[in-house]
Amino acid sequence: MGKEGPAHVFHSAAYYETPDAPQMPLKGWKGADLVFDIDADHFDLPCQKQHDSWWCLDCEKNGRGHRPDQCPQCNGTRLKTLKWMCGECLAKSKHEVIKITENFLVPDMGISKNDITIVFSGHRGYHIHAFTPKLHSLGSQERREIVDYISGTGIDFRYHGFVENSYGVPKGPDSRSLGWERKIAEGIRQRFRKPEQLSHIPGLRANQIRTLQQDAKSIYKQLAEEPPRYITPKGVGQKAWYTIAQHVVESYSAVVDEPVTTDIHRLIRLPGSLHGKTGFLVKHLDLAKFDDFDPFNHAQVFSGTATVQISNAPAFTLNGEHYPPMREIKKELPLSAAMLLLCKGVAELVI
Amino acid sequence: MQEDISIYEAAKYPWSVMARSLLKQLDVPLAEVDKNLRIVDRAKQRLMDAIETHSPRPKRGLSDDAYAELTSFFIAKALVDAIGSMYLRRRWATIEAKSTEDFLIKESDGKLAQFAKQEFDWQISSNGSRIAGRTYSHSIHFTNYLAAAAGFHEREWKLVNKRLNNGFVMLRKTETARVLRAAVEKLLIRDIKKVPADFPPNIQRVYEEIAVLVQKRADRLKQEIEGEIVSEAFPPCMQALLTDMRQGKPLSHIARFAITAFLLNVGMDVDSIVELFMQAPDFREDLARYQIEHIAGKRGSTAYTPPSCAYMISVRLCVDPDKAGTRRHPLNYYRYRRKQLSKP
Repeated sequence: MGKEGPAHVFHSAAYYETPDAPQMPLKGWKGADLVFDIDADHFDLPCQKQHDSWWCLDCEKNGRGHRPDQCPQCNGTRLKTLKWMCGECLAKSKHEVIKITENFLVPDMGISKNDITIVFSGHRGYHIHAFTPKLHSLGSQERREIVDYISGTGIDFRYHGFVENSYGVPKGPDSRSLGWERKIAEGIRQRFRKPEQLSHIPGLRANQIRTLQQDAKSIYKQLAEEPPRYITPKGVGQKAWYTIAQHVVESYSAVVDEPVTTDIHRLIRLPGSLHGKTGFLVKHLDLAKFDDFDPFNHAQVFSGTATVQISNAPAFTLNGEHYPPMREIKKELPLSAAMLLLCKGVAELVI
Repeated sequence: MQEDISIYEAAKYPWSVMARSLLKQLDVPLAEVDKNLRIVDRAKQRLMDAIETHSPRPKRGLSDDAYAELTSFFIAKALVDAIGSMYLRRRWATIEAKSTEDFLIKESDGKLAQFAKQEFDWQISSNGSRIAGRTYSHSIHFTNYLAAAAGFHEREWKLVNKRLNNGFVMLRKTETARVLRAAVEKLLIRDIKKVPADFPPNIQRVYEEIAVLVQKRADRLKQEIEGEIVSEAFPPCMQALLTDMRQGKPLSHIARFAITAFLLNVGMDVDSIVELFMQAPDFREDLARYQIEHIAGKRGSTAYTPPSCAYMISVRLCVDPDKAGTRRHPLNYYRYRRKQLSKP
């Protein structure tokens, strides 16, 4: 690798009897780590409108944020993108990692924290690897069920305590239960403990929200009973529970890149290598110290300086230093910053 | 007496390790088995049940001849192996597994758990628990649960709709038996041996009869899907993809794969599909043709079928996930609708 100097280095997340066999069927698949890929690419974030851009190679139309499927001006599909990252999108990725491990992998799936490692991808996200041997032999379909569990896909509230058209006291999720039912029950109750949270629920009408907020105290009390009583005030139908429950599911669930997890022959970026689009270190992280990790400080490996001719770079912060947007300018920069601009293709080295 | 009990047990679960070792102990030569027409007839019956029964349970006269019951299973299995039809194997595995489930339901919670440990190495406990007013008889490790139940298409079996805690899924007894049934079915489908079609005369006769019957079935199934393409019978997901394509909307990689594999399987030719893709904004005929031919199996060894309903739901291409449960597979939907539409 030292001789070739590749821009990107990957390793297999799968294990084989004969890894060097020339064809896949001959390798003898033995199993694969359970891997989750969390990447800011999959979120819709306000900061991306600031620092991501695209331009059309056919008509030179350009814009900010996510790249459209086709050029709005000439309908061409030859679009180039510049994806950048900032504290905000990496914080969002980090938040998702914490949700996946703390909400699902550890409590529900019983995976020990010792069997989980987090890797900073070197760009806009993180990879979670779960090494428990019991997980190795899971097939693609089984892994898809795990993704669906984490993302709340296919959740059906009828299997989480709600009973449709029942007689007597309306039933719903019980916080003495386990897994998703407990999360839904706790999430709903919490929203009535702090009724101001009810106003952020999409799908509820303004008058419903008002009524629910007025009655929040008594509803909370009924929800805290064992079993809980899901009685709605006048003017709010039982359907409102589903709307609130859906909102709770969305707040607990996490976004993962499904094809990465379900691919049982996946190649994944090698920790210890550098990401060819940033020059940042792909880094193993300790789950206990994950909170403090800041890629703009802790994944930097270069020292010294270099002079670069910058074409067009958005603002960024690296090693505690803030760089304003730069355009058509020659500058001597710390090597990490220069390397980032070179890798992003927005600068050229001046020798 | 002891032996009678174990033969009876083995006859209930003839695919189990215990049954196989018992059969080995008895060590009756095949020629001898061939002379026992009760066994040969029962083996034939097992396969006829597999081919002809839709969902009802096979009738079993277990108690009167446990030995014939046990031995006939192995003869039937050898016939399935020799005939080598996946269609027959699946159907046979399904009814044998259903029969297992019927017996399992009658066992105690503890026996069920012990059985799952012994035969499938499951991490399972039969310490019942009451959670939020509901009673569960078993808890099983979610990886064992998924290995058996990940293909179930009813929503209630999705992991996301189960009580999962600290690695264990809580199940009622009927559910545990259902999941075990799926494990048995998978075991029987996977356990393929190469058997030459060289049997003693009576078994050979059954072999020939069943092989002909299976071939007839296979031809009929093929007919149901081949012939004129009835686009009204396309499932909603494929209709939606086609509409998008015709409007020149760009489709994701997996969407393109799904629609292409679907159209190929219902009998559309490569040229017609290339033509459909012409509307795509990034159309390049050479690339499109190459990829379509690849999916058709003209370039590699595999001809692909479109993804199952479960997969379509996961990748959010399913138009109506709530109703998708009624079918497992887009091609299955097509076959069924096409038959319905062709009725006067």
